[in-house]
Amino acid sequence: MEHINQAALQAPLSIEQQQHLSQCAECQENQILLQQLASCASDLTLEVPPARVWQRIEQSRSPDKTQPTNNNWRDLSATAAMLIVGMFGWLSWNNYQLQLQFTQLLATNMALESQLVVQQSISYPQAHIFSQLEAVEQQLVGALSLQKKLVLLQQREQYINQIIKLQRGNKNEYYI
Amino acid sequence: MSWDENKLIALQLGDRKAQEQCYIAFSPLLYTTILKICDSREVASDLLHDTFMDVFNNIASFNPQFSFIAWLKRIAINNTFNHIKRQKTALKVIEHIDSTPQSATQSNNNLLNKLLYQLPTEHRMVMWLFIVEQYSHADIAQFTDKSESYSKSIVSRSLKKLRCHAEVKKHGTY
Repeated sequence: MEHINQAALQAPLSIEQQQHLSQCAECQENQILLQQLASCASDLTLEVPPARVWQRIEQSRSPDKTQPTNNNWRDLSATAAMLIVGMFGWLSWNNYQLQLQFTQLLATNMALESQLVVQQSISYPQAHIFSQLEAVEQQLVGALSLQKKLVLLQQREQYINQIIKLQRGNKNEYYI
Repeated sequence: MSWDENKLIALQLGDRKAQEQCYIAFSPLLYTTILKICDSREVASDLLHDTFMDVFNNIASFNPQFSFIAWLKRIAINNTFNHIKRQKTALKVIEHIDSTPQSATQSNNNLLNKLLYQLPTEHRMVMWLFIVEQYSHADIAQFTDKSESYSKSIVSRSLKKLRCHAEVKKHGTY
């Protein structure tokens, strides 16, 4: 029979193996050695790893998911600050553009006003447009936003143009 | 510091305090295991670091129905075995280096230490798994990707070596 080779250290021996063991000096020696080695294993003293191992682990492990970190807050504040600056810039630029359009429209309106002629009597269509113009001007006084003012000024410009056209009249038109 | 299974939940949530407690509780056991197999404090420190990083990163995959210590040891031994494999392929002379005494674990006259001291790294690992961890040859075969007869022959040869060593010493004293 072959020498004993247990499947595991604590595995029980079969009857055949026990018979072999009683006759084989080499296997007896091996069994004694294995028992000695196993008892030595329980006497081994545990070694403490150097402190730098934990320091390295601390450095390389991912951030604590259970605790809010300063980094998270820092990232969030930076993003918020960038958004605020962006929004402020966009609003300033938009306001500047509206102001520019407003100034241009005011200048056009004033130029058109100077073309109006003061008449003793006005026609019915003229009177109708004048009433609409007055309504627009009233709205213009009450308008708060620049955009609303721009729209009203554009309407005012159209009405003044219409009045100028009516005042100039058709070249072929004549009165009796 | 004592470790109770309740701390596992905190560990699975990535709690740093629980990670530290886990390290304090198990690092000596894992470090000793790795050190006895590698016989190098430098390598053992590196492998212990890798082992705990693996533990913290893969704790979600741990099944609480099984033993936590066994799971930790499995990761540590797996990392150690992978290191041995890498060294073996990178440097063919490693067996020679391994057979050179490094005195990392030669602090006493323990018979097990004497045996481990005489063996090359791979054989040392097999003997450690068989004697200290009490793995069966089937378990060792799974770890090492080799047959059961491979670890059986290593155990047999290592015991023979130890017997011969004892014989030589006995004759030397006469």
